[in-house]
Amino acid sequence: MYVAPSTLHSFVKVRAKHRKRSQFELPPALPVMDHVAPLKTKPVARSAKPVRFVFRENEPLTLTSSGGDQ
Amino acid sequence: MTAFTKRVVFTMGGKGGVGKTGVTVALAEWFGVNEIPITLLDLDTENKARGFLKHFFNGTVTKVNIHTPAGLDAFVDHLDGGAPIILADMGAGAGRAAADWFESMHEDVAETGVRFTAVGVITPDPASVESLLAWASRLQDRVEYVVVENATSAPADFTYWRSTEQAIRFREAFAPQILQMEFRLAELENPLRQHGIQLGQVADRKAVVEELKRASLVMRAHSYRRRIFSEFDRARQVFLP
Repeated sequence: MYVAPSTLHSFVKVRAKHRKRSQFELPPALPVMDHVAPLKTKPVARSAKPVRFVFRENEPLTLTSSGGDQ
Repeated sequence: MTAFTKRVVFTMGGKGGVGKTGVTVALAEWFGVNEIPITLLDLDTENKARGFLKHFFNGTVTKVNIHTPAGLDAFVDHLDGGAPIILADMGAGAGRAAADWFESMHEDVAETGVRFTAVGVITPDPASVESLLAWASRLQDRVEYVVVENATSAPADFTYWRSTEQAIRFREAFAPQILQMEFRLAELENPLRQHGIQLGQVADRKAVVEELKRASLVMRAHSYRRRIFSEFDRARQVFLP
């Protein structure tokens, strides 16, 4: 197969241009850790309040032996 | 700190026929006599012809279906710029819907200055006590509690409310305000329900029904109203914003 030098030249030129464009850029050095640290130590909100009273439906009521407080 | 400026007072549904609507009607009259504006909501989705809130306050009651995803948001919508009090009558079987709503909304609503009072009505029937306790088990301390002992007979035996371990634990946990509603004569109570007439209308001789114009019933209506208002006065701090 014969490839003309000008074709090779064009190929290399386009490839180089493409590589330059897609070059990975590092993000600017931000003080991210300044935000990470307080977030890690932030107290987690409790999802539910402690249950103070439990009554299961269909639970039979139990009379107290003393007759309860009147 | 949140400044509380509004209050939702609602009857806890569950056991039917214990007098929830009767208590709501009396409470609405009490607010009226004290010139406190209220918004009345009927959350009882059962389609009854008589005995529901709208029957007593035709035209001034908004019917709300709480079984829709945003049904109970009506509390918030009606409080926004409206009366400082919402008085809502829950229907039987509303417990789960109300509990779910409180679970997801209560914290944010409370932060806007809204407080909630749950009114439980109990009778000598143990099922009414079980219903109250089941509600409390769901609502926990997100509300303040009022328990109305409705004497459906004379004398009334509230053993299952006063002397069961579960009811005692409830009282110890939440220290509810306990009010008495005395037994009412059927000659007065039944026509009131039948015609959707408030106690005050009879007491003030404004009832259009002939049988409610008898002097003895007018006198009875006066007495019942005075005594139930006196009970509401005792618990006024949990009925006002």
